[in-house]
Amino acid sequence: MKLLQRTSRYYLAFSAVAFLLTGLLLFTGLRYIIDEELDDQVADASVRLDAYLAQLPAVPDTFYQLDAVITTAPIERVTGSFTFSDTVFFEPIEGEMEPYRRVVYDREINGQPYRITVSRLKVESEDLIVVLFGVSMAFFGLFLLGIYVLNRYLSLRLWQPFFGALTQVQRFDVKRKTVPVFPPSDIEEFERLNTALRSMTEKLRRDYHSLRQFTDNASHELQTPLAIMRNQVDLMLQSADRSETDFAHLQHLSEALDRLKKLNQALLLLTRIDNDQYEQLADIELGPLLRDKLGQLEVMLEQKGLLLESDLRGTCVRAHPVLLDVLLNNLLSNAIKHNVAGGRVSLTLQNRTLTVGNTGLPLAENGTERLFERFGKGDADNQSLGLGLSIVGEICKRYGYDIAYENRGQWHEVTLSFDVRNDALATRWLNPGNLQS
Amino acid sequence: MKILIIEDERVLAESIRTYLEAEGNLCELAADFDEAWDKTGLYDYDCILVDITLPGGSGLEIIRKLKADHQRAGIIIISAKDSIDDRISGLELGSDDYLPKPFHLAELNARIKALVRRNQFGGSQEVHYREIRVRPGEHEVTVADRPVRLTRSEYDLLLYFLANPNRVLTKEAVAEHLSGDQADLLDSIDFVYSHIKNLRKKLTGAGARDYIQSVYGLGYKWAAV
Repeated sequence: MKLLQRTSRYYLAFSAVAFLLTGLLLFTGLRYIIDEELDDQVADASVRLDAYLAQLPAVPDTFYQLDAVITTAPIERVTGSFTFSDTVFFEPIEGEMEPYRRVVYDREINGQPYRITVSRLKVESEDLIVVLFGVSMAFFGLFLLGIYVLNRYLSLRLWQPFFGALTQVQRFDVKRKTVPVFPPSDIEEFERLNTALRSMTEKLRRDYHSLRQFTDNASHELQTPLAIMRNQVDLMLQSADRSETDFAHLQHLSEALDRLKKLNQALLLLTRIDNDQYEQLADIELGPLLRDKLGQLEVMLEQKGLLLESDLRGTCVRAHPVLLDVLLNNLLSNAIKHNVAGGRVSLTLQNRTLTVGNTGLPLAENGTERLFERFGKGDADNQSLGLGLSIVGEICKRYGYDIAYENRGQWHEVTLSFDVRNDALATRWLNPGNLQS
Repeated sequence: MKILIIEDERVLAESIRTYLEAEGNLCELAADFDEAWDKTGLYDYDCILVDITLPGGSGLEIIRKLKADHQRAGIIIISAKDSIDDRISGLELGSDDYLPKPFHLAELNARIKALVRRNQFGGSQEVHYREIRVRPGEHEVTVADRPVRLTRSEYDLLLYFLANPNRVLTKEAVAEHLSGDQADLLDSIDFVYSHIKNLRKKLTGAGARDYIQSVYGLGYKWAAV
């Protein structure tokens, strides 16, 4: 729900209550004043009525005087003065009950005490109240509408800096070089918001940058000690007088070094992707590239006794050759690595979509969620680094490719779609300057 | 062969020297930019290994000078700075190869040999080991003058072994060599065994002796028993 809607709702609820109360107050107030006026008139007129009655040969029971009905009844003695009340009488002309104002008082006429009741029709005053009430309500309604329209207009205008800042924050990408611009506002709250956002985004950018710098430096600096260790192992291997246990130790050392090197290589690749070091794009025909890769992997397929089914149609994508190479290598080697002996690998390339399917052990539950995260392994105790698919994910994100993973029991399938529209988006993404407009 | 190793990391330089001198090469070391600058100006080498980040300057500068002097030495960049830019600018300047750290000494050795073959003999020099002959220019392999058909990987593997005879080559080193320059994340160690098996079968099938020895679980060694 929009803020405007929410506040309007509150305003409306408050107005309705205020409206009702005012209406009620107005109604009863008017009524009270008019009744008072009527009563006064009757009281004033009673003196003339007494004089009139005294002239008459006999005091009549009931008689009519314009819009008033007057009844008289002889009583023992005069007790009270004026009492006022409302009542209704049946009006034969209109054929319905009509409101009357009744005044009762005792008076001695020609020595005989009488109770005199004067009932006056209230229709006119009632109409007046209704008209007054209606007019004020109509005015009130218009007022509300006006407030609503004004509010809308103001919120569009006054909240402009807020929406501007919101768009900037939405577009903000810590990896991008462009700095979000929050234009200054002369409204204090928005200026405070802008200041906070400015310092926050700046801090985010700085932190991200230093973190990236750190990973970059760390993996670079690791290369030299790794090189020294590896070369030392290489030299130790060449001595003729090594025992079998020595070789076993050296083997473990060599394997651990290899894993460390691959880990470092993967981290370097990820930082290089982050650092925009793969900017040049080339049009690459996927079919021949895939066939070439399959040729290289043939021995691995053979060794595991895997059956390969491939259906490759022409598809050309725009990407950096190195990244595309890494992407395909990772997908294909995953399909082989995580396969079971005598399993199947299927490769389909058509309609700008590449589908790599393979048989394999079913994934552990929740395994799919962390699949594209760094060090997210489907299986905690396997030897893989858990970086392969994260690199795949990173490359897909970079080029705007859509990647989906599906697991149905023994069958695993990764679908990659090289969408044209996303391609264009990715190109734009790579040149942050274009986004400034 | 005379080889200059321009590398500021003393231990690394020494290990390279030890490995290469065991092959009968003559190695000289240069630990910083000035020393490298002087040595490349004074002497001729068959091959120069250059680290890019050096105390006192950039290895790229030295490559630029060598090319301007029309030195015939083959140049291999050995660098920890495995960034695309360095690789590209290094190769553009005229370096012949690029080997990112960390590398296997056997790999370096094979690259040096291939480079010198290309540079000095136009690739026409034969590589031979007893009855086995390889003509790298024509990608041709013969066993006792009978041609043997090898796949690309098997051919690479054979040349790698022949470049490092009597050396223990770890499975990791072989795998890295086979997965090529890209040295991707492919878990390639598993299939080294298959390649070795196929190569061995083809060579012995053509009448060659079996020179590939398995060294415990560690790796392989090409040697005549």
